[in-house]
Amino acid sequence: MVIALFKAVNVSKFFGTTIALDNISLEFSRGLNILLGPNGSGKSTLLKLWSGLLRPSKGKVFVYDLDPWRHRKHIMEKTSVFFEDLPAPWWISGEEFMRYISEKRSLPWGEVKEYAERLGVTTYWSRLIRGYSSGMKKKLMLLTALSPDVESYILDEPYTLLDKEAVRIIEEIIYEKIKEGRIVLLATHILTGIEKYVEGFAILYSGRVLAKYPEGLAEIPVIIECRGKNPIEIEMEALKLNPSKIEIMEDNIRIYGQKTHQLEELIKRYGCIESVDLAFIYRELVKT
Amino acid sequence: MRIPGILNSSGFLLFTLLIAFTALYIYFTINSSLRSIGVNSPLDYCVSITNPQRNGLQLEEGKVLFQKSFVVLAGRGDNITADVIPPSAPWGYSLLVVDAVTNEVIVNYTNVYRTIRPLLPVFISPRSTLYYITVRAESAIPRESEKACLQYSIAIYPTTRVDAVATILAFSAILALILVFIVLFKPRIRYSGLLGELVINAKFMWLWFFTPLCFLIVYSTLLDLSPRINYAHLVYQDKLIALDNYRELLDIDFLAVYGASSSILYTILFTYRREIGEEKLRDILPYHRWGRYVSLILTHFSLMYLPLLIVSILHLFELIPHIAIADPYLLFKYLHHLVTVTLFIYAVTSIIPLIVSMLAPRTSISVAVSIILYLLLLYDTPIARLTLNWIPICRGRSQLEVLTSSGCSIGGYVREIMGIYISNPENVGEWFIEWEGGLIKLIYFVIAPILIYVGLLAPLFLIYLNREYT
Repeated sequence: MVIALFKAVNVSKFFGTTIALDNISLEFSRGLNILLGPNGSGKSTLLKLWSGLLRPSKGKVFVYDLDPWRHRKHIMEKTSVFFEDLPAPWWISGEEFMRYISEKRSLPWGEVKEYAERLGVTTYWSRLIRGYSSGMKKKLMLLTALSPDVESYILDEPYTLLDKEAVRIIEEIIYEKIKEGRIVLLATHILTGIEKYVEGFAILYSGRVLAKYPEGLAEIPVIIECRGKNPIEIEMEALKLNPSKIEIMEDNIRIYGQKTHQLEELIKRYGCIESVDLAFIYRELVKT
Repeated sequence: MRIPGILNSSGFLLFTLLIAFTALYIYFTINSSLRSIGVNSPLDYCVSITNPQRNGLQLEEGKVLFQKSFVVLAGRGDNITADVIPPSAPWGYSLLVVDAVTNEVIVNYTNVYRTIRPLLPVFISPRSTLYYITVRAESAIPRESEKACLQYSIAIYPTTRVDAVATILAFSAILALILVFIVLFKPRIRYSGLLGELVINAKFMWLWFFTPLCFLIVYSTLLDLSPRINYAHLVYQDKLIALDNYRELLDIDFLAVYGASSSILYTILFTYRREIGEEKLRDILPYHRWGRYVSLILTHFSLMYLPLLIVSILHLFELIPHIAIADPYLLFKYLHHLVTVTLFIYAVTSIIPLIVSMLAPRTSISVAVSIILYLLLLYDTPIARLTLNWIPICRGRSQLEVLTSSGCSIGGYVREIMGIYISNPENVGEWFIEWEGGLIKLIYFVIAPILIYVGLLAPLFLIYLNREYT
């Protein structure tokens, strides 16, 4: 049995008369997990409940089997968090701020600097934060969340305001974290490609769960990618399996299926990689 | 226009503000006028056959005898005069000056004068210390007169602000040393533990705009280096009174300015940071909520009070360095007195802005409300009388219908307490017993301020936590 490390049981959250979350139950246990949904769907609220920054109005949330509100210190020792609305302290320099964070989290400064260099933060972090652009601040704040070596990461909308290169680096870091066996909870309404590594997801809409995986959905649309193989031969074989779409690129062929095991034969035969077609699910669900 | 890099750094800002503060401090201290201070005989200070004895003056075997002792705090070079106008001439005059700390006799002067107003000697203080001055006069009872009257006047005329200059030099030297250390060694600030929190709070740039102002107010108002004279009664008590440099706290205007500054600091620390969401940064770090709360309280205390305490202690060592060596018990009593009074003032003046800052959601509202509320309660207003009626002094005064300008207001309350504490520190407990019918003997004034403060901070902590239930 897989132990759920992030769990919400019949959770509701009200802000005055606004219902941010309406009786939702969810759990995630490993790898990359994505919360998808349009603005105001309750993604950030749910992540804040798991971070111990908010308390549920009804129901219960658990992180590592603990109530995050009561055991926030303990949970923050194992979890690193980024929220879009976290302000950067504008009266100090980015480097000073990172020194503060690194000492509070007992991070080796060398590692912090390494991540900062990858994100391109070192080029401007000696200046006061008040002079930074929105994207620069965002990269700095992401650095505070991604540099600690902890068991799980909660990232709320990490891609907005970032340029393409920064998005690529963030994805690269997230991928490394997943490979190292860390849990990543990602809330977004933009799909950039990292979703192909997803092991769990939930689609939220107006505070309710429209779909969730692995629990909830038995059959989900998938994509398989076959690199460096004979694309014509694979295409011929794929057509026999009645795919919904086939995309052929230079050294890559991407085949879309509507069910989990629909393209299994291609995976076995050609060693293709399967991933969830999250974009399709999201589009279809939110459209309806 | 592009601002040069150095001007855009918090270090430069801090440096500039410190320099500006030092310059202002020196300006205010040097330009403060030299205050001479004196003690004069009361009006109609006379004795007669029917009333042969008055405090320090008596009729004895056909003679008028006068003897009085004073404890005096004087700086080096200060001129001290002990003038007496006897009822008749010839008359005998004697002046005994003893170093109160070392018990060394400095002056023992005796003379007989033929005229009532001779030129009496001026004593020039050889060092900064406490002196016991005993003046004695003896004359015959004037003929054809029912009563014999005498006038006396003990006065100190400071010659230079040696004490102030020394303090400035000490302060500037410390400042320079710190700056040199920072420039040469470029020490990296450590943020671990509670101290790290204090540092990051103190780096909160807005504070640097207000802190020097608070320093300036506190230093220039409280660092009272003028000479003191008191009547001598009990040895340690007298010495403490002479050493007390909190006298200016009795000035209500200081409390108004201090309260306003305190309100601004608290509002910034509690409300502005919450308003901009900066507190969330700490929420995502692995430490307890109470740690954050304690760090804010301590930051305020450090910024508003530690300089005061440090300078007060510096004052002690600068002005009368040998007291600490010659009389450690006196030093202990002095420090104890200083800390107790500081804590009490801190408790009284910081609670209102703290409450408002926690309850009001916006900085602008919070600053305005806390300052207005503070001033309303500070001064004598019907609101102050009504809301502070629970305080024994106010209630007592209301019952006695003697509401005066020093009545039911925070300022009045503080002034009353301070006055009693300063004038009679050993018997504050007894004073409480008089007011409360023996109820609060254990809540002696030494622990009362701490208890009050902790007692008020505990519910505020609950409000602080509750504020997060949004």
